[in-house]
Amino acid sequence: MTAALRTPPAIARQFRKYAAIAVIDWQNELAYRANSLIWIAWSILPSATMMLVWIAAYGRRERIGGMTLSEMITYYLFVTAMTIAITPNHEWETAMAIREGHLTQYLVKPVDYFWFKAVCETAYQAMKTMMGLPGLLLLAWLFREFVQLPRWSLVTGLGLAAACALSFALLMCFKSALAYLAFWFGEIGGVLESFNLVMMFFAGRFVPLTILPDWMRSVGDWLPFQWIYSFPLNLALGKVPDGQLVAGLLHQFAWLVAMYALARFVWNRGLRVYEGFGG
Amino acid sequence: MLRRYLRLYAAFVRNCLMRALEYRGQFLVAMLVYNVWTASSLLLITFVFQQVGAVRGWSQWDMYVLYGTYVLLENALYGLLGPNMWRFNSYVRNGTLDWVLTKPVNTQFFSSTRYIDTNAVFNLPVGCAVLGYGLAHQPHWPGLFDVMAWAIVVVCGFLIAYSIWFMIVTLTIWIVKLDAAGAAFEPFFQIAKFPLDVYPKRFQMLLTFVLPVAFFTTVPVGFLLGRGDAFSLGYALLTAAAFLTLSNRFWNFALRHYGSASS
Repeated sequence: MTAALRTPPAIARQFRKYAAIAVIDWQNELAYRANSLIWIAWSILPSATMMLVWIAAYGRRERIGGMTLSEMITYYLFVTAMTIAITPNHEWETAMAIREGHLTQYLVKPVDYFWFKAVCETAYQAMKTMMGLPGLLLLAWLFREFVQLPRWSLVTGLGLAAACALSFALLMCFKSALAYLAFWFGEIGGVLESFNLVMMFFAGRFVPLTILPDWMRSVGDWLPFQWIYSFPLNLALGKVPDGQLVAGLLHQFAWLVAMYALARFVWNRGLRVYEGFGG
Repeated sequence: MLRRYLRLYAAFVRNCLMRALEYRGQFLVAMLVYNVWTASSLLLITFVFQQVGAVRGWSQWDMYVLYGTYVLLENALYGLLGPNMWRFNSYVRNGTLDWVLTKPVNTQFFSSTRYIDTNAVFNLPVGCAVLGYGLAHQPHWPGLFDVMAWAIVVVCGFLIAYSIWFMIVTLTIWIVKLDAAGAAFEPFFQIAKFPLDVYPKRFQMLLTFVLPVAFFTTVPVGFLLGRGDAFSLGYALLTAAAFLTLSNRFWNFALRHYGSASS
């Protein structure tokens, strides 16, 4: 009876296991914090460039693509924040681990590889956010004349937090499913690059979707990418009425379930052909 | 001595080309992906300029000329220098730099030019096509002097970009855990995707006299669009010489602080 009282339940053991992984990965990422500065510059500098280009492009125009200059600048500020805080980049490491056989060391450990990477990426996003916050605040200050933060209600704030969490989870599933293609194809760098490009285009990472021509927006309506950046961005800009908030979150959740199922399916099929040379 | 280095560089090129052609599938995929990225950037420029018309005197066609120049310079940089800049941190971390330092050649030359990404070289025609398309919609074609001035300033821009990039990766001699040093140049280089005129005046001064991004695209394209002048050409040559000298001095200074990773 005493031993049974001392043994934590299975779910607690799982939580402690993944929490330990998160802490170790956090410490590991901190050792490479100089790298994070470079990746944060990758996010901030292009956004700052586009913001300056739009300021020049607006001139005396009131609206472009249905957006005022303030809305456009605020849009890019939020895009930068989301790129830093909720964008995982684990697909390259995962593909390399499969290709070079390093995956084997994770298969023999009592961890699920998808959740292992999800926990590591969460720690990495937290570290990137911490390191990127000064740069983000600097960007907001430099463009303070144009930035217009909307007033958020409690509902919008909570909805935004949920939407960002769902966006992160969606990206984890998408990128994992793609990375698992390495089980069959030796070199999938081109696939990953192409996906990232299409995803960023239709997610509104480069320009707001309202700037794209009608035919491209129609194509985008059928794709899940608008639910990654564009939906939370519109929420942050106050362009989503409270009545549509729940429907939007449900859309995100539905795509998440579908993408998680796809990632699991590809993983399970991939393991059957995994040979683990090298490692 | 110049012939010796040219023969050595030719050997590097042959070696890298042979390696690339062993993985033909990967070679073709990389070219395709790069062209897709180029096309998407062009589309973005088109969408934005179709909405706004000209921006501070730059039309959609002027932007194509500028973007074509950007693509040419980007491929030259990433093709001829990129693989070396990405590898440099591993030289320091693994002690391979010791091996480089024992070679009977200039170490900066070897560290900067040993590997070539042949994909990038085969992407050059795309840049030429975009540039030509933009020029075809200009009121008149540029003259021979303008084209030569454009080429000289683009080469100066290449040398300035190389010097800045090499000084960044040299920092890994002190900051060993900086394996992304090779990527540090990219966000800075992207500023040249747009003409300097779209940026605020103080930023333009910074990008002309401190970090001379002006010579990557804006100044050379000025010659093709009939807006160039001899002063810019002379200043480009002086700036390139100054930055090359600075990168060499910084490299020699860094080597004095290099602590080998091996015994």
